[in-house]
Amino acid sequence: MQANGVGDPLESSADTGLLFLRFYEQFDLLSILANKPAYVSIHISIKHWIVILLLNIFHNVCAQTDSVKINRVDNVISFSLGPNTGFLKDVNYSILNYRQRGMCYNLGYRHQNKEKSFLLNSGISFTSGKLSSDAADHFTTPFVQGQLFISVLFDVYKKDKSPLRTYAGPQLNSFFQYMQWGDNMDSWSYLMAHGLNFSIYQTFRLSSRKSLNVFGTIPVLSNFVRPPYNGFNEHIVQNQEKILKLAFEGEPVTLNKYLSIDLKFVYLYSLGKHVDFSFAYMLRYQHVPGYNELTQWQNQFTAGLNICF
Amino acid sequence: MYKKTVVFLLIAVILTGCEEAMLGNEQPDTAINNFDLLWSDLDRHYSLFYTKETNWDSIYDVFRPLVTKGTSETKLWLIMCQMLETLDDSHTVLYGEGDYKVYTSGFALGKKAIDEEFSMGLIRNKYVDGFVKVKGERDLGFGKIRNKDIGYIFIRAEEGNDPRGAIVSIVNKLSEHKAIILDLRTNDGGDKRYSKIIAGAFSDGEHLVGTAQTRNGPSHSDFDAKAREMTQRTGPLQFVKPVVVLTDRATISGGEYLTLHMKKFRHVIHIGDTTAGDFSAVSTRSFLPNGWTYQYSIQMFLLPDGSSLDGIGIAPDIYAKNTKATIADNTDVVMEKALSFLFDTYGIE
Repeated sequence: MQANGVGDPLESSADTGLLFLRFYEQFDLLSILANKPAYVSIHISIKHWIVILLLNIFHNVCAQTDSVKINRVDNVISFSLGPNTGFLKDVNYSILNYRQRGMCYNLGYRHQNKEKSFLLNSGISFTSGKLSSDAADHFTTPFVQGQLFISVLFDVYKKDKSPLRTYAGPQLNSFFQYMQWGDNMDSWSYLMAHGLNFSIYQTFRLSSRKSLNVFGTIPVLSNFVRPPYNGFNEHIVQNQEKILKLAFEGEPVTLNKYLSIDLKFVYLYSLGKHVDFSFAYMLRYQHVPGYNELTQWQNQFTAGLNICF
Repeated sequence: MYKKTVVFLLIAVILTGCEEAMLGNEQPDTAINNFDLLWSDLDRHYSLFYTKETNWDSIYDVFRPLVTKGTSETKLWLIMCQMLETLDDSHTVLYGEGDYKVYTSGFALGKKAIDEEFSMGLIRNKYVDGFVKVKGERDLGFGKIRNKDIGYIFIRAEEGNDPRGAIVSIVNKLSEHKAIILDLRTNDGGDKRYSKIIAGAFSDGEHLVGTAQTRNGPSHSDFDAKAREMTQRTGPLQFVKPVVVLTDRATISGGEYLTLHMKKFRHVIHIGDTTAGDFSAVSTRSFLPNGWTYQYSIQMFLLPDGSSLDGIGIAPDIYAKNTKATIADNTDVVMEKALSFLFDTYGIE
């Protein structure tokens, strides 16, 4: 396999196919030698045909690449997924410490103007998983988390010939988190914040095919929704079917009552003219002081593809 | 820049890998700490200290010295149950790990009523014909009193998918009868909005039932604004002929709300035993480090005159009570009283 499309892509692709055909044959032979049942052999062959197919696609993409550069297009649609781990203590829910395990899914759209002085960044993410406590196995609690955001970022720092560019600007953000335990809604808690964040974005080109991007956000003013002092009250009981109404009945707060910091590092590797591979790590820290104190740390590791056009 | 980023990422991963560094120390699973957590949570959130004039600090002084480092789990369970019993509140419940054991405060009379003073088998065998359970509702059924022009409705819980559709349909079917007996004995409650909808099928208008307030601060007297609880009308047709409501000591919470609503209507008479006396909404479950959970009252419900029936219950207009002996003798004294009342007062038979 040759990088950056040097050489004949068709020839290259044929080589790869031959290589994996031999690989498959070797495995099939091994399964016969091991006297495995026929269905195991079929299973292996299907699995390896999928691998062959994916690697052929990857190889073709690479083969067609010709000195691809990152950030050379105006619009990017991204999809990524990966594990979410973290820690939570939500006194409104429980006085215990909880560990989080889950899976997160992100979908994003980014637009950049031709002068690269303006960036529109938007996305939606969803995480579902479980909270577990050392106190008891049956305290394990399902939780969901979602976020919707749109940022308008302006070029604030760029030196000539420097690989570093810095953008900053406002972000409209809506975040929710909900957990519920027990067969009869025995216990639950939630956190919702809708408002204005300050967002910063730095992109650093490592080479013609690789770049490292850093996103950071911090809330400025939020409509902040948390359960009342005793978890719920008569107003919530009487309006429990009006979820949307309740989801926006919060109080305006700023950093002293709701601190939420998102730091995301995205490594991009160009696979072709229109496709980038992304690997990202996000650190999220949230803290709510007061009678229903909440502290949450989350790590998200995601991998995905960017479609550029 | 690149090296700095890698270092930062490593630090972040290492830091966020340590739970206690991020969240603070985990609550220790000791007998003393479990007891203290339960006591202090109720101190900060329980709603009926004020109306019941409970001195919670003195309760602590009595029970806390009984808990030591070496207190066994069995002993701790007993001490906690004894402490919660002083609240005399069936909405305050302690659950053992996995809910394998459950203790309900102030429920001795209710349990006796369920175990000894009521028999659905007796009702169906001796008093009611054509008893039908409504699908989709947890425990709602209806029929007709044997050889009499009286309908019968039994509700054991205020839970189900479509209370409006169910009660409108039942009242429609029983509307030709001269009276209805609404049996709420052993009713273990549920959603009070359900109660309101059921009562609305018998409504003669809008009346103030009472007010609900939720505790909203650390002081025992911290409550939010009063929310008014009004009767309503349910469906196109209300049954306003004589209605007898039957209760016992096991009529709790949602069943008591339903009783309170019904008693606002002029054509309703209440026969049986005093209800349990638990009107508050129940908190979400709280968790203890030893795997136990608990819940408790978080509201204060007041009648229009400002008085509270929590811990007291709703007294019937006509007192009647079964015993183990009357049930064994194949007689439901409360039902007999209701039937004789309808005959004596309205000539209905």
